[in-house]
Amino acid sequence: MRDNRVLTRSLRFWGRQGTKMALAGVSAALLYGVFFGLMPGGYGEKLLWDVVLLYEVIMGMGMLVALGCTGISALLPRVLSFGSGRREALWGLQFSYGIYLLWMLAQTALLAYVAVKAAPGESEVSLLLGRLEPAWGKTLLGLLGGCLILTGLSQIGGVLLLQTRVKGAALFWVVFAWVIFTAEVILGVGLVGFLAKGGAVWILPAAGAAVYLASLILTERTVDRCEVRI
Amino acid sequence: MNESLTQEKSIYLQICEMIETDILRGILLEEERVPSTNELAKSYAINPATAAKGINLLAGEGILYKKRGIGMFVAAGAKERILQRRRSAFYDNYIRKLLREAESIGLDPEQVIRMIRENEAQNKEERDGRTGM
Amino acid sequence: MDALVCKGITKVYGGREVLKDVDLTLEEGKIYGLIGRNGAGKTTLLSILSAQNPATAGSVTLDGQRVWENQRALGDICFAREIPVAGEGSTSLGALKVGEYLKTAALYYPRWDGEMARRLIRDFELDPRRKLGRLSKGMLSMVTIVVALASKARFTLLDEPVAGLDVVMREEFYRLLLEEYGESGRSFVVSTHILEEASAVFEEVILLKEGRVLLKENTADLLERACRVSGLEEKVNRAVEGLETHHGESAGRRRSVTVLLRPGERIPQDPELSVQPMTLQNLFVALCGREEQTAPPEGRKG
Repeated sequence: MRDNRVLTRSLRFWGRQGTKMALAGVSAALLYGVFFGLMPGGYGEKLLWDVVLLYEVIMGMGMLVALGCTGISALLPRVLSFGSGRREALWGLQFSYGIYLLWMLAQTALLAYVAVKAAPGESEVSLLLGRLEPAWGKTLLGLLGGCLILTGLSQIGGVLLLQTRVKGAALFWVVFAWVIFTAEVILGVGLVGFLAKGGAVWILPAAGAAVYLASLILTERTVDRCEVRI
Repeated sequence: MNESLTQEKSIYLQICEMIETDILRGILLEEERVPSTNELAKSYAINPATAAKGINLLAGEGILYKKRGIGMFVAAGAKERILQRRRSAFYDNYIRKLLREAESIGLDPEQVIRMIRENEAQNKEERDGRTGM
Repeated sequence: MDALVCKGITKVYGGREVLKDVDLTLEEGKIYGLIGRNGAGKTTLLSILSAQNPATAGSVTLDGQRVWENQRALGDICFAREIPVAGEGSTSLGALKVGEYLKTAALYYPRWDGEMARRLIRDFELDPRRKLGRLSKGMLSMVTIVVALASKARFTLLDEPVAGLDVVMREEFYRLLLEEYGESGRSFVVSTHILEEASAVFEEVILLKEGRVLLKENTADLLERACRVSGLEEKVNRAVEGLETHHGESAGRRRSVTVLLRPGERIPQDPELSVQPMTLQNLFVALCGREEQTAPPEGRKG
């Protein structure tokens, strides 16, 4: 078969799935935002939309990256059962992750921009960004590192799902979701603030690269010799 | 044409017999095209190779002949030839079996012949009775 | 050398040999029936032939080229199997719509026939917007059949395509299969437990028993040389002496035995012996059922 056919179908299938997941992620983030915005507590006197935006920015980068990536890797058996090459599927999956992350980053950036424009200096997002502003570059690095860690971890979750079906992956998910959730909700803004101070500029990206690489190797080894079970 | 196949006998032979019977009964006429192997395969849910085996057997016996690019046709005189062959097979297929069964239950050939005559007489009576009404 | 060939295929799962040194040549343009009892290794063999399962040892080639990670060969082979959505081992497929599933198949099979897929979907009265998880077993079988036929792959392997179908749909499936086969000359391998209607469809039958190929033979030839001999015990034993026999059963003074004649062999004529032809199903039970039983066996379905 001609190579460009393989390329076309990979771009079409994996690109589309990444986009679909991202759209689902954006809507889920909005739901989270509304949920936390309506919750009685610290945000009671603030505007709902403001809180929604804040959570969308934070959650969008955390929980959703992870869940989305695991969801995408669940597609592997389907394409393999239709005669996709194993290498082709591996790189297709990475491409899909890339598309998905770009979407999530873009929507976060867009929403942050909208929030700052709408209520400069007052909204939660603006306040957060205000705190981050001096260390903008460092924050981006930290954010990227965090994304890589989450992508890597969720890729591992996806591989577990592929290998052990539900049992192994379920345990992984429960622990993983709990850790992320705690980190997000309890540390939340504080974590980002900590990053902004520049304390962990290199640790996060380095850890991200390591985790992602490990997950890539694990996936490669699994996909290379796994039995396809749809 | 859609008789059903049994599993007790080679399918290609059953295909042969069915085509022959269709020719005898005038369902297929001489110089007429017979269904192709794919058509037979589809209507009886059998492998086309099996259908082809049956068709080829009949072609080998001169009952069917091939028109290049069109298909298989019933040969002229096919009906007569099938009748001839079935008559000559009658002894093997029916008479011998009949006598063997008769022997195993202790009937001698004379008794069998008597039974055949009786049956004929009975049939005649029935026929006469019907026409008499 | 247009053939799908496997040589010396062995597959071990957790210390258990599921396939043992299997050699098989599948030629272009034939319909093969793959039969064997549960656990004989049918699905494993089909998944290895389609490179969806790595063999522990041995090789699979198509036209002389390795199939594993060979995009040309993979595009020529379609392995259509049951879609598991309910119960144990269900995956994310349950939430997927029929249309989406077929769309992915269309993207991946290089010779996909979209027109045919649409026609079959209509004929089977499948709703493309329905989720796979909400389909009945029979409807899932139909989706599998649509993928198999529309893939237009040169070698199409169907694992239990008729398992969930009623008699009418089973016959419909075999008609569709024969129609497609007649038009395209593609090769099909169909595994099934329901042998009555299938035996006339298979040009060749491949019988797997405990991980080995017990026989691979033209179906008609096989049935022609198989028969069931029964009668008084001593007479039967004398008649079948030196012949390949299977599945002997004795009840009182009566003995029945299945014989597979080799070329040139015949059962001696004897009016006191009954020699009956066999169906594929009877033969299957004779070859794969348990040997030497004193009582007649229960009607067992492989």
